[in-house]
Amino acid sequence: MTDTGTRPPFDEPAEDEPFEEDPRYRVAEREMYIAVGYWVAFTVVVTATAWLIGGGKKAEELTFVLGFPDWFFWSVPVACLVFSGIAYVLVHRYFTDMPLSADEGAEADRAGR
Amino acid sequence: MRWGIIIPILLYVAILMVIAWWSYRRRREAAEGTKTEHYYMGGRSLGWLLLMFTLLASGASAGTFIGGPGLVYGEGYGWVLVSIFQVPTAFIALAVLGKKFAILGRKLNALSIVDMLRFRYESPFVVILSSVGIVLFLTAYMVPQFVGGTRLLEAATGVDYTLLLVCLAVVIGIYTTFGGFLADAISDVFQGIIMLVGAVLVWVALLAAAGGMGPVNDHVMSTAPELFELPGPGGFTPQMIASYSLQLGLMFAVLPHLAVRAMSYRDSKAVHTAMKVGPLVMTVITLGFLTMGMMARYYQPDMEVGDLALPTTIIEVLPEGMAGILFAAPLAAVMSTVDAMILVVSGTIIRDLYTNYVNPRISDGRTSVVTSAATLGLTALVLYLALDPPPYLELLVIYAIGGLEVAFFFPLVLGLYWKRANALGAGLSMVGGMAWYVLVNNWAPALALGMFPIATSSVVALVLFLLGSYLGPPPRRAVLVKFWGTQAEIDRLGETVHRTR
Repeated sequence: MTDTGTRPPFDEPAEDEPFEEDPRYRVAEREMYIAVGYWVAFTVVVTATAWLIGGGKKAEELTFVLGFPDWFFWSVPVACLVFSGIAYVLVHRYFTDMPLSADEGAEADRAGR
Repeated sequence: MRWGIIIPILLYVAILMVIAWWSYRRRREAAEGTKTEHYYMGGRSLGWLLLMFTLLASGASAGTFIGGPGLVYGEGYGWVLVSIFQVPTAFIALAVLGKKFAILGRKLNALSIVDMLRFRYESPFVVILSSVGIVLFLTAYMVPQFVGGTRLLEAATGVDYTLLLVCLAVVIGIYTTFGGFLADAISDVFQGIIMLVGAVLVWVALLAAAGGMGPVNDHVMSTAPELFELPGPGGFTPQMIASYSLQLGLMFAVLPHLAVRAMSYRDSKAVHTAMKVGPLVMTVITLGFLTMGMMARYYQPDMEVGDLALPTTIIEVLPEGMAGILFAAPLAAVMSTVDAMILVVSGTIIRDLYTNYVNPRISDGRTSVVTSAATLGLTALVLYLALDPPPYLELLVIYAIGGLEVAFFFPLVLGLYWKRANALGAGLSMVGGMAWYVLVNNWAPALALGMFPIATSSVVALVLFLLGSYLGPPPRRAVLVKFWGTQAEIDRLGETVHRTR
């Protein structure tokens, strides 16, 4: 914030000069979108299952599955287990192994070329 | 005095001390220049087991073990429903901040989210605002954790409250001060395993003693059938349920004491395994302890303080030695949250405020010492506040989690992934989001639109962030290079800086 307005010295790159981006960040960004999508799905599924099965029902109208009210059974233990499995599969299939150290990304990149 | 409960707890404390001693020795062996990093990050060396448990244990506070079952006891299954949004925490937290956060931490040598914000926005306003927020809110938040943990121990052991509180503070103080992040993380594994095993064992034991869920359900049906219902006494409408997911699921990741863990792991294999296994572990812990709140109804039908329903039940139903081991679980939850927060707060005071603005010339070894002193002092302060909690504290506590999430989520996440994000946007979003959050909580509940206050506050914070980012100047090229460029580009940046000086 401090040096906006002051002119850069002559040997400093111009403000709009392009630079080489670290390719690992694109991968990380994709993984972030996967996680956000997962969160949306989890939220919607849990809320919808619970409400569609049990919303507004009196206790006497509820049926029980394995000792729990049916809405609870499907939206809580079952949903948790299913989504734990989904998280496993997502990470296993779509997340990329990569070095995390500061410069190794570039080295690995060069080696790969 | 119930010695059958006290002895296992003492044993547990002894193990914590050994862990702290070992971590202290490792830290002393760390080279000059890496001591501070070692204290706050454990040298960025966590494997998947440490990473997963330290994240889960630091996140699962007294809420999961004391408050949560108490709410289920009082208001029914709706509370279990909203609590399970914390199940994928490990996956979401680690993937949303992501490997980019971990790589940047190494490139920029960042040890806290304030470091990240400072590098990204280069704005003293943002840095000081976030630092002060962290210190105030997390310190306040630790107090009820201390109080809750001590009350629980008091109920379990019959030992005097004040004595227990002092002991708890001394234990936490010692192992956090000397052991640092590594001791925290290792003890989190130990504590997490106790929680996991405890959840399963107590659950089975209570269920067996009651003769299955049948008798429990019959009992609840005849005394408080509304506990089975949705929305039920907790008022869980669909929009209310979904908005809890913001606070406990998505935005949980940016809490300062959790976010710091998202750059402490060794490699991408570690983080992948933690993300794969974490949700399953959290499912067991969350469901185990929270559904016990309902079982406690069977054993203790008319407790006035719901919080004590589960502890009282455990003492009554389980044999003493086993109860003692299990009491270590909620205690562990409290301790693992508090120690994580103490480290973050002491780091904020010393590193983000003191060495940045007061004494930038301080050496690494010296910082390490000052930090330990601050950690100890902080524990003492929290102890003092917990002995007789001042009334205004309650206000800070209510805002701590949701407020910090609203303040940090967009500056941190958009700062990582959106090049246009700038200081004006971050500043506006933090101030505006927080102000809205306080407004909704205190004076204008209608503005929450029937949801948890975090929902509308997040929208306000996001809109202000976008507004500020488009109105204000874009970030300097140097900032973009630091956050998007390769290490080679960052090094080139350093050269020009040297040449121009």
